[in-house]
Amino acid sequence: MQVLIVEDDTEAALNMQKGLKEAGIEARLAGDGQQGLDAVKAQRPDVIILDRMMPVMDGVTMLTHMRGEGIDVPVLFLSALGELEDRVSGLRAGADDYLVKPYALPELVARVEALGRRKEKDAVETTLKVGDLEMNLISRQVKRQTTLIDLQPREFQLLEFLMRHAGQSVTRTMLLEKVWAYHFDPQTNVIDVHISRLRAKLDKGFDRPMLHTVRGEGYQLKA
Amino acid sequence: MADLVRSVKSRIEDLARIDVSSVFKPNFFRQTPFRLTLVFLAVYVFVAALVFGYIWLATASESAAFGNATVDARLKSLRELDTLQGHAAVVGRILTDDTVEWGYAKGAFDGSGQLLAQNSRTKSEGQSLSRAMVQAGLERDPHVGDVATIAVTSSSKTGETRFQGRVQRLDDDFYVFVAMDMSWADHGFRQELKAALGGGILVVMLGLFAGTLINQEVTRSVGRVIAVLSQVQEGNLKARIPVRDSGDEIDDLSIRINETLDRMEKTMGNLKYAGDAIAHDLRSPLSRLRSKLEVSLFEVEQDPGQAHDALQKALDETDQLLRTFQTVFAISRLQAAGQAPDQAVFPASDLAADMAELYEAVAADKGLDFESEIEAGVRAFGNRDFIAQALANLLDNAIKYTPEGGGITFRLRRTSQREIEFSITDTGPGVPEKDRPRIAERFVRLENSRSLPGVGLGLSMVDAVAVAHKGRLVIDEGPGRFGHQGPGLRTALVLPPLQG
Repeated sequence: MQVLIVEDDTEAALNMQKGLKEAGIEARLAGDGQQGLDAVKAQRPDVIILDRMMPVMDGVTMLTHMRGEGIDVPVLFLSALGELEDRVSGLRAGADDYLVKPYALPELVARVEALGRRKEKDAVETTLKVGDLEMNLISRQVKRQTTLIDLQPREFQLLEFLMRHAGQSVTRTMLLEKVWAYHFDPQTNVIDVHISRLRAKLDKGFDRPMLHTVRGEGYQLKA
Repeated sequence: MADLVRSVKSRIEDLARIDVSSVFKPNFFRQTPFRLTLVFLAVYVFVAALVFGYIWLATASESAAFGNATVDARLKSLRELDTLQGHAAVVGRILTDDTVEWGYAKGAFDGSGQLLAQNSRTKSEGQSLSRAMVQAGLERDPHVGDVATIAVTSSSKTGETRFQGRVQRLDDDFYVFVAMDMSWADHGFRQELKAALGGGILVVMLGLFAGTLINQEVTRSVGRVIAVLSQVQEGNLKARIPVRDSGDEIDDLSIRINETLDRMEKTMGNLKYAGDAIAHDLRSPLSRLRSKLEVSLFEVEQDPGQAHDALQKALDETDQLLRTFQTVFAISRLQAAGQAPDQAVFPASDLAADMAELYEAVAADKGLDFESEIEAGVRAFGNRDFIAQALANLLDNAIKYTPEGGGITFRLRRTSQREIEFSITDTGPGVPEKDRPRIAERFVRLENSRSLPGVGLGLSMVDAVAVAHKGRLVIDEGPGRFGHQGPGLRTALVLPPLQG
């Protein structure tokens, strides 16, 4: 996966680059919106990390130009702490996801991976398969090997998200945002509790657990 | 009387204070009151001209009718004399007419235009008058009859005089004419015009003067407003426009500007307070982080193997600090803005169901009984994420403080006033009544909660969210004491009814 980081703060950009490299993702840098736009056209990256506040051309303007020219590369929008309006304007301009600064590196990596993955899977699927776990999206049946797993609607959504991002780390914030569609600080281990309920249904009675906790990052579903 | 003298005196003093250079600065003629004065005066002059035009037309036709009538009376008497006593008597009458009526020129001429007789007035007007009469008599239109009407201006040594006359044919070889001196009518109109012109000039002068004064007055009033606004522009938010209590529109404007300034000052004050509060609020978590890092450094020196753990701890602590900062920031933003951003109508029942589903698991995990009663179809107006955050804080508090084996009830209902009430009742230790007013303040933590994680911002956030939605946070008595549970606490986020 090829990532383009458009960010005027060089130190922050280098940190991002390092963090992504650690996860095996290569990233190039651009210092402002204009450079970013040129780089997008020249390199066609798979994911763009775009900062809001930049000289010459800010993130929203660059994004608007890009989308105006029909470039649909997934964009992760970075906005400053507490600037709620930035988040809204970024999403309106066509960002696919956003992250508030300062962020934890694993959060950034997880979101970039998710965005990169999304692009690969454009086709409409009727079944998802991870190892011996199989999910039928039409009949809404979940089977591990031959055992039918009975899931509540939300548990089904949670598992679907994990299966679509199998092999990747997904953070608690991502799950709250993508599965429950809320943006707030839950204060407590809400997501953990739901994950452990799902884990109980998924891994109970099987030798090999599939749903793993990744320390300092989140969760990962592995075959 | 003394009052009057005083007011006149102050008025004169006002006038003395008028700074002529400021009144007659280049843009003086463009100032509104003076422009209005000019417009008013122009209208006045136009109307006056119209009125005088009308008067002139009316008097001209009136005097012409009068002239014709008196001339006809005199012609008639000459005609009757001619019938009774013949041409010679008429000639004689004309020649002796003289002194009686100086305003009338009379004469007689024959068919060849030869003047047979004229009175002294005719003679004094020179030949122009008699010649015009002869010409009118001889060239009159036979179809109209024996009389020709003529208006003529004679020129003589004494100047020009306007006459209005008639020529009567008595037979083919004998004509008489009578013409009246019309200068009296013109003279009267001219007198009137002169008087009106004098009056008009006086009005225009006074008008200009009054206009200047009014302009001065308005400029001074507006000047006060402008002066205050420039002070505000320079950063003095305390400047206010003096209000004279005259109830005019300048006062109205001043009052409104003052009110706007009041609000601005308050908002700025809030922002400043928010900034100060953030700085203040972050001082202790930052010092705590610093001392922890110091201890970690010390520990790592003792045992380098702990470096990873120490760094991890520092990172966790920083994350906690950032979360605190984010919450303080969000609270301050809400308080400064006075209302939550991006508000919309959203299904409150769905939100409540989602929150119940999320937190039921947490409660169950801790061994608490969780019940929810959610009225269906309730909709509310607000920022869904902020409301969710507030409910998360309330639910988290309830779960955190209720001991194992206790219970939590989460309700959404519409009150009798159609308000939207999310309430959470727990069987925890509750909050003594005297402490309830202050637990929503920032960083306030009660004695028995110190041992639990948290920084004391949860309820402050709920309160800020409630206020930013024109709602309120209610903290009440719980269900009471039973066994080792209770007395409990009931918290509620109440939102105003959905309009329409």
